[in-house]
Parts: sequence; structure tokens; C-alpha cells
Amino acid sequence: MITRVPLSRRRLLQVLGTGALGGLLSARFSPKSFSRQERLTPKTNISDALKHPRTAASLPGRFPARVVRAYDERSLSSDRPDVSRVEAMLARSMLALTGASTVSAAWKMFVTADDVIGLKVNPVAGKMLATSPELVHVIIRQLEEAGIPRTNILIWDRREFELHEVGFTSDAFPGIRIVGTERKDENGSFRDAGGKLYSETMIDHEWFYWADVEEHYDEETLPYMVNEGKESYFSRICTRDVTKIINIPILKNAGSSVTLCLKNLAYGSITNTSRLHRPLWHETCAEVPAFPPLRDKVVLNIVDGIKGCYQGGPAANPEFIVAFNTLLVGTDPVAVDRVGYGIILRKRQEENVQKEENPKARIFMDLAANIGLGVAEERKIDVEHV
Amino acid sequence: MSNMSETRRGKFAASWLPGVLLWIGAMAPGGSDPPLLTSEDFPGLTVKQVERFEGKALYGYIDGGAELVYEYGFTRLAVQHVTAGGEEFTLESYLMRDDLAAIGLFSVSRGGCVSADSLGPFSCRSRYQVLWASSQMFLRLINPAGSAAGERIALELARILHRKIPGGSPVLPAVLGASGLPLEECRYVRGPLGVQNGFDTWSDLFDEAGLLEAYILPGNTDNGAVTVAQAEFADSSGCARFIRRFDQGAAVHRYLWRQSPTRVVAIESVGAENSLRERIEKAVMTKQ
Repeated sequence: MITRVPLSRRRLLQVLGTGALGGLLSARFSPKSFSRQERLTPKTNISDALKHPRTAASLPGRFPARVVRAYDERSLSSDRPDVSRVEAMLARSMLALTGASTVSAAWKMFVTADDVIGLKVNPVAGKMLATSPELVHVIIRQLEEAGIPRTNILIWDRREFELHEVGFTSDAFPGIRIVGTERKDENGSFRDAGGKLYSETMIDHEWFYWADVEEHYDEETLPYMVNEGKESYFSRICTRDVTKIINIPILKNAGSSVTLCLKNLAYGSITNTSRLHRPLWHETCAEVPAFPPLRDKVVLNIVDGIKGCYQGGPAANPEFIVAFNTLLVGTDPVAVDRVGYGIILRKRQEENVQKEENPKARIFMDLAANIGLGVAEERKIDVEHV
Repeated sequence: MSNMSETRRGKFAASWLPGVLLWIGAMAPGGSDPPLLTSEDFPGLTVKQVERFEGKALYGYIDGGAELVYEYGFTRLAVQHVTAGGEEFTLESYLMRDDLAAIGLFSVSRGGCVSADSLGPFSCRSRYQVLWASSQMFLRLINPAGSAAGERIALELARILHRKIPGGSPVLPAVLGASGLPLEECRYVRGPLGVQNGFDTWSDLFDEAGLLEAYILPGNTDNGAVTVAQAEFADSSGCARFIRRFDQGAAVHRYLWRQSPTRVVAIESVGAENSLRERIEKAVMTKQ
């Protein structure tokens, strides 16, 4: 029988009966707190990560709770970043963030000529929505002007072939190593003549994110995940090859949340990730960057928001890719993510994608703040517009 | 087809309304492989590369974006890079588990585009892409340069592909048709990611309520915003949970019919919408 339910509280209860709803009336459904202890998610080895003593270089780095937001409405030209304008935006940002008198002096606060610097980009969504090669060229040029040899710079992400697809090639970046954890040979094979995945040589078994969840992969999928089991191993690129990391995500949404600094670091640095997406997305984003190979090496976050997306992410859906004409720069990845999240949320509201904030969208930022990676409370973040 | 005929959304919507009585879950006959373009399809068309993804390998293509596709029910994907008329295109051709999965993925992927009538009711196009769902297929033909020539060719290629898809598309539930709202705005969702991507405003309403599927149709009348939805839950307690939250919602006017222990039809609106409410109620009762 179809029942029309007039929705005043008293009438509703008359129709459905208090027994059915009594237990539900006791609490509002929106959680107000997002601490790890309160979340009923699978266990992880985050406590192991937190046992490692923090260093002076540990996140949130030199400028906690500080974010510089650079904007230039003409930073995009013919649908590509205008290099000279982006260069000026980045220069203004570096000076504002550090208070240094020159751009080179600003860079030298984070890196030295002895460092091997990994530029952690994001090519996952393809050409339309990747970290722009133009911005990376600008960063490299400013690093060189600060005395960093090109040979000490590498561009990296999980999948080498995706880097190539979006324009991070040796031809485009002569003298710079382009390297990914997962790789194919010239014949398109993930495996060498002996059947071994090339990626197996790229992972570090001494560093792993353990989580009490696992998934089995077929032959097609394994090359993208590298290993099964409850461990997600860190790439050697971040554990051994580089001494400093500059994190360069792109400004994009992931449902009503965002995939910015923390997500780019977390999911871009470890193997065996698909098992983590559904049950532990927030935990993974927050906890993986708390391991020393990331926590103690990431010196700067530069969000490429020249173009970005407010809906359809993390994949690229052209309908929702827009010119934000923005760079976000800071050492504190949580604070940068919080500012980026606000930009995307406002755009989603302007475009009527969502009316109100979904508080669950910020869980990973709260979790990251709780383990000391930065500041998630908007009111505590100092945003300078340049 | 001219731009004019492609953009007449009102006509499109009207063409849907008559005869919509029941949800008919028409399964697509055959169609075990996603359709692709060949060099014979279009003068000068060159296929540059084809990639295929099955099972969990979708993570290898779109990483975290794969979760949404899996939530709907994914079978396989073929990605084809082609050139035609001097333009480059990327075709993503998804074979989904069933035709509702295809429609659902389409419904939360569209936005900022106009209907492409020639590709069926679940289609839209913009400068950068043509999207449509038909049978168990969800297709996205991307014109990354966004050129006018590319836009024109993309629509032609889409029509060619569309003719390769056997079977038709399902009909939406009668209560949605009765609303008089443009049906192309309907979102079909099967879980939290679909809700987040399709109609995040209702994420909290469905949170941990065991949602199996929902048709959510937002629109506007002279009185303001209105949303009509039909939702099915895994059990009666989840359904009751949704009802309780719906009752606590901010909208001034809310109406709800419980069609079964696990299924509801709901209206949320700014204005009273008496006429709309009466039409929906009639459709709900007719179904009974």
C-alpha cells in the first residue's frame, strides 16, 4: 500500500510509528568531529609513522598556516598558461611567502645546490587536466637561477607513461630526469624478459603504508598496482632518489572534496592503491604524507590552478574545466588544501553543483591536522593575495 | 542537424512525457564490446591508438576517478585516439553492467552542454565533447582543442558510433515524467559517489541509509527550485532513516509518498507546487 507521508514531525511519527524511528531520532547524522579514533575504518600503521622523530624539515615546514594566493586574470592564453605571467605569479608568491628580497633568495630558503629535487606533478587526468608543463618550466627556471643544477632536478609521478603523455618528456625538458614508479618498455610491456614488473625495482620495501584491507588483482590490473596484500610500498623515488620534494598538484575536485596537495603526495607515492580508495580515502590522504620520506622532504606545495575543475574530478571532464587563473603556494599542505577546497566549494556553489558544504569533504584535512601535518581550520590560516 | 534542433530542450523534454507509465529496465541485446571507430567510418579517419581496460584495470586509466564507474557497475572500457579532418579526438567507450549504469554515469557526467537529439534522450554535446548513453554503453567523444571544426566532426562521428549500438535506452519512472520538469536533468545514482557527483545537496539525506538507487530530478518552476526523486533502499530502516532526514530538511515544502517499505517518492520545493504535487500523487497512485 502506498502511504503519503505528510512531513510534520508529529504526523510523520503517527504514520510510521515511533518504534521504527525511535533510535534514529536521538542523534543528528552529520558528524561534527573527524578524529581518527572516532572513525570506524580499517586499522593502519600510522602509529609507526608517528614514532619517527620529527625534524626541522618536517611538515608543515617553514611557514605553517600560511598560504599565498596569486591571481592573474590573463594567466591563460589560447587555453595554455602564459609563461611570462605565470612566472610573475610564482615570483610574487615566493617573495610574499618568504619575505625574501629576491626570488632566488626565496628559493634558497628551501633548497640548496646539493639537493636532488623531485617535482611531484599530477598527469593522471591526461592533457586537459594535468600539472602544466609551462608551470614546471617556470619552476625549473627559477630553481636554476637560484643555483640548482638541472641535473639535480627530476620530474616524477607514479606512471612514467602518463608523464610522457601530458608533455613531460626528455625532449621538452632536456637534462631533467622524467621518472615514474610504474613503467613500460618501448614495446609497451610492463614486464621484462623474465616476466618481472619493471616497477618492482622502483619500490622500497623498507617503507610501506599498512592497512587492514586488501584486494586481489588480475593480470591486467597488477602492473598499475605493483603488488597485492596489505602493504602499499613507497616509491624509491621519494625514499631514496630525492632529498627534497616540491609538490605540484592541480586544482581539482573529487566529488564534493578535493584532490590537491595531500592526495597528490599520498596516492602518487605508494603502490597498491585501489584497495584504499573506498574504505580509507581520507585516511590515506592524511596518513601517507606523515611518513618520513614525504613528511621530511616536502619543502613546498604549488597548486597549479591556472586551469582546474570544480566537478567531474579527479578525471577530466571538459564541461567542468575552468580558468581559475590561480596559483596557491605554501609549505603547509593542509592549509593549502583548505584554501583550495574553499575555492572549489565556492565555484561549485556558484555553478549550482551543490548548495551547502558537505562536512565530510574535509575529513582528510582534519585528520592530517590532527597528526601535525598542518592547519585545517580556515580561520587560523593566513592567506595573502598577490 | 542544425544547432537549433539540437538545443531545443523544451521540445526534447516534451517528447518524453507522453506514455511514460512504468520503469522498463530494457537490457541491451548483445553488445559485448564497446563500439569503436574504423577508418571506413569517416573520410580520412586514422586510428592512432586503442587501449582496453577491464576489471580493476580502470584504476590504471583514471586512478581514483574509477571509483565512480565501479559504483555504477563497470564491464570494460576501450579508449581510442583518432584523427579526422585534421582534428584529434579521444573516444572513451564504456560497456557498463546494464543500461541503467550507462545512463547513471552519463547523468552525473553531463553539465554545461546541450542535448544532442540525434543521439537519443541521454545525450549532450558541447564545444569539447559529445556524451551519450545508449543501451549498456556510455560514450564520451572528446575534442580536446575545442575547435568549431572539431565540434562538428565529433557530432558526426558520434552519430556513426551511435548507429553501431544495438538496443535502445530505458524509460524513466512515471513520477518523473509527471513532474513536467526537463527529464534530461535527471540524475540516476547507485551510491554515495553518484550522489556526490550528481546531486551533492542530498548527500546527507542518503548517508548510510543503504541507498540502492535513486532518480533525482532537479528543476525550476515559476515558484523557484524543485526536486523530485524516487529512491529505493536496501531495507526499511534505511528508508525510514531517509524519511526522518528529509523531514528535517531546510526546504519549505516537502512531500513524500512511501510506495513500499523500501521505496519512496519525494518532492522538495521552494513554493507550494500544488499542481505538481497533485500530478506526482496521481502518478504514484496509478502505479499502484
